[in-house]
Amino acid sequence: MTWIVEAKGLSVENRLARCDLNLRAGELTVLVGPNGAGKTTLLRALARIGGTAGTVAIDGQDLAKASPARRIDLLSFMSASRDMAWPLRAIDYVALALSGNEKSDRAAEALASLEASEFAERRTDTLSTGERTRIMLARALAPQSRVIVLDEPCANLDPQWRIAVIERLRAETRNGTAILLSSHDLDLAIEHADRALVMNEGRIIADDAPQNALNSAILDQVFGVRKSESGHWDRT
Amino acid sequence: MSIRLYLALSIFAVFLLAASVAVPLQSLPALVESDPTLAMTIVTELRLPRALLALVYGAVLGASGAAIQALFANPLASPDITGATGGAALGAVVTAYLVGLATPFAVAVGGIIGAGAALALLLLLAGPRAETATLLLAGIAISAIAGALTTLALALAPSPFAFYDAYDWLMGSLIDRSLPQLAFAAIPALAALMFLVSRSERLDRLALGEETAEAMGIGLAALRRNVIVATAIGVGAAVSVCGAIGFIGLVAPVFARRLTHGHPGRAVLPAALIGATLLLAADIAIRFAPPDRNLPVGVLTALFGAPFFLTLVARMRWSARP
Repeated sequence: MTWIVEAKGLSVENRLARCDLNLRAGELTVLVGPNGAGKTTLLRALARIGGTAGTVAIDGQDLAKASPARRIDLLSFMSASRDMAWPLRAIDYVALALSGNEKSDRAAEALASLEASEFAERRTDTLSTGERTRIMLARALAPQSRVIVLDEPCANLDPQWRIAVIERLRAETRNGTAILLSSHDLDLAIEHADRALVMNEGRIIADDAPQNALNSAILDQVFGVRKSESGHWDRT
Repeated sequence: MSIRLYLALSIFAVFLLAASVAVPLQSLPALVESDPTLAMTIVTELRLPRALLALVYGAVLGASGAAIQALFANPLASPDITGATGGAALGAVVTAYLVGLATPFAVAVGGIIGAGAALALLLLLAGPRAETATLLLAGIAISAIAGALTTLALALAPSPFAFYDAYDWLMGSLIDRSLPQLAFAAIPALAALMFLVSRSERLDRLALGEETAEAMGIGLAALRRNVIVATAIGVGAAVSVCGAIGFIGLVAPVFARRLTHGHPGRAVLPAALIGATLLLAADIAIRFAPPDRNLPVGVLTALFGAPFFLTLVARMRWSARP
């Protein structure tokens, strides 16, 4: 697998120490860390949101210099907030990320891929938080960008939808998409990710296969937990 | 929104424009027979500028209202409620009566600066994605300050007739404006309108939230600044010629969004067309006031607009957003 994302010198004063990060095509990377570790800051820096130092190149192209039309081909971002700034029909919300004549069809496909077609005609302010999460995911997946960055995509989801979302993301990676998502769910990282990044105090402190990155020393030091032989999480 | 709907709205606006030139009908045919030159003068120098002013002012109010609502992600934002029209009136009054520069150009510049200052102050006080209560309170405060300062400026004005002069103008009126005045309102208003329409797609994408819009490559600071400057230019220049006309900028976008499936950005152009038809219709309606009574058009728009505003507030209170 080749690097698709090459980020260098990403930093945000007091929140993110200078870090480099590369992502491979077809890889599902999960970013974990305790509250306040800087996960959202890193994801925002990668999507070039707000004032961040450093450069992000996707397929060799500087993301900050790409036109809006090109940018959506390169990277799609989903925020951790489930607030929707302005109520629209779900199908229109998803279509806003798209351009061209077939955007309604593509938006409908994206909704169908997350089994959310039944909400298509409903206004977003009439949906539950979990339903809105699926609509926002559909919006992030619809443009079929090279890289998809998702902040807590599985929060607020029932177990069945959590599994459905992971399966859907897996289907994307099989097409060569690089996906980076943050999560508080360590099991999700261990069971489903190809690679885990562990953050603490604004730094990436481990970057490896999930079993290695989330070893017992890291779990104890960063999260204050250990996994018992029966599979339970205990405080250390 | 389909081309057919745009066409229908445009045809309706043109029909009202023609009606605005023709009404009241009974005086014209007789005058054409007795004094065709005078009839022509009345049409070209009195009625046509008035009708075109209503068209342009209504359009810029509708478009600015839609753009500001999209920008603040709030359906209650509008040029009058955010204090922009009050600021424009203050800027124009200070320029004309205190500074003593009463040329249409100077007054228009004063209006633009006043509107821009009010919107910048609102952004500072309420923040870019203002909660309704914060937005309304900041808008009320700015309008109150602008209103008080306008009265103060008129009281301090060297001319003893300043209050009387300014009354008709401040209440919002389209009567007796000249062709050069029309140009000073129309050129900035049309420029602002074209700019705001060109930003429709970006304003729509703002509906995805600021972070998502920024990740899509939309420069938020530039968009915010440019929409505010365009609104200040369009509304400021129009207010400097016709005074403050309320509620069109609030009402027109609400109707426009019904035609765009709620999209706030692509509602800019239909809001302009609806704003133009509303103001043209209001300006025709006041001509049916009792004879010898000069009713400012701003009074009529407020009489109908204020209850509409209350309905919007009530609907937001009890159910979802309009």
